[in-house]
Amino acid sequence: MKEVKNENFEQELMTHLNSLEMDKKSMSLLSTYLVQANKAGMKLYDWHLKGQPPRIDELIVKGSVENIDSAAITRIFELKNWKEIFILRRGIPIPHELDVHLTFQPHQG
Amino acid sequence: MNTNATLVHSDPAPSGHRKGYRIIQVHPTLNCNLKCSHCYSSSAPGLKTKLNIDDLHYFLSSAYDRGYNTIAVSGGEPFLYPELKELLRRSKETGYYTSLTTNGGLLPHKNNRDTLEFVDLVAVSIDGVKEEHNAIRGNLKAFDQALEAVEILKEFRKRFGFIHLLHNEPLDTLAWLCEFTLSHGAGLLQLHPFESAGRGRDASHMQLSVEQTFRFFILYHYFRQKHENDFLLQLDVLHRQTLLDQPETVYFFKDRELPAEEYLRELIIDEHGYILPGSHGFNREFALGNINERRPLAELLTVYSKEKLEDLKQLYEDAYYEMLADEDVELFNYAERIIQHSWLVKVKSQSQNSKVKIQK
Repeated sequence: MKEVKNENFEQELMTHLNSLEMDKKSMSLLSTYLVQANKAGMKLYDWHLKGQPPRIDELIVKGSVENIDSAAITRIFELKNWKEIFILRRGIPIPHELDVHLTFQPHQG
Repeated sequence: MNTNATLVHSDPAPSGHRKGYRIIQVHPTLNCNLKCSHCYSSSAPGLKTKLNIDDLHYFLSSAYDRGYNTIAVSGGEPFLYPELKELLRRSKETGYYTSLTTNGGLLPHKNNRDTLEFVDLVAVSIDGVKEEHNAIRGNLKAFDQALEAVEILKEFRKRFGFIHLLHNEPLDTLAWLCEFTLSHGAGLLQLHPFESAGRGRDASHMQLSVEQTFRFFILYHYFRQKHENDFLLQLDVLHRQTLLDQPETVYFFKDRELPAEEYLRELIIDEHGYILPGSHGFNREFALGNINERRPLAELLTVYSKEKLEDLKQLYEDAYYEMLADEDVELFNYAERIIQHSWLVKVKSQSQNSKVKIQK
């Protein structure tokens, strides 16, 4: 599966968004999930695409959550609609940040 | 284009202004040096209606006493308002944070440069790459003039940003705009969706489709993250989830009883002097009055609370639930929605005392 890194990401993302692979329903879902991630306190720092253009298999959004309290954890677990959620704790000796990777697949709804 | 309230809201203004901001948008004239195809206020060269500076100052002084702290001057082209410098000077003296939106074309004139002394923030309208900008503005020099204005703002070390009308355009325009903003060291890029108002009604080809709005919304999230340390990127579109989570964003406070000011955190003074809630183009039946009445805002608010506030609250509530009920729509241009809605209802209780005259 081809993975697109940052230097080409913008152009790839625009190509994908313009393609039929990303239909209205998929874009609606992704928009909602992004708003929910924002609400959960996620600070996005990276995006990746997987798939051979124009096909899009996965869109992975990476972000961090700085305040790890129970409410923040709850909000992240409420992001259940993403296809996959990957969480890493960061900080030694006491974790102070969560690294969260969210995977979106078109047509997943 | 509109010096939108949100522009000032998101501007890195002095701390005293960021918290509890209350904004007054002033449209002192519709006279403009350009005749843009999308103009929601139908501004154009030769429109002579303008506000009386003393009426304006009287109202603004009384509003400052009621906690309003920011004025955003738009138009028309603000630099064609003969008393602009005086308006800004008096506003600064009163204590206001001042901003204005301009197409930049008239800034090079000496007197206009001098006006910058009394401006805290300038937003320059940019509609896209040079050819696109000039085509929309109907002037082959418009883009170069905007660039010249930007250079002057840099020379004067003024805080500035760009305001872009998001319309039916290629997605890579957004990438270009971000690079443009970055390369000029601007602090803000505000994206305001096309509204079918004013001359915009005849420019339906510029209307964003639902799909196009989604695409820009997703890209906006990407670019906002990419440039978070460079400038503030703002998109004036509300997502359904935001409506659900934060109804107060659209002045719907559910069961809470709040004073009139909370529903009127943003006031508009239109080109005829009417004091309106919401946005330019709001139904004047909801007006608090007219600045030519020379009544202090405190008095106007008292009367408004008795006569029209319930209607305004009902309008906001109805608009809120209608948006949520519109299941086909996920992203909302709230300003356009609420203006349209204001024209669908009739204010039940008309002011008995209001003797509004249109100033010409």
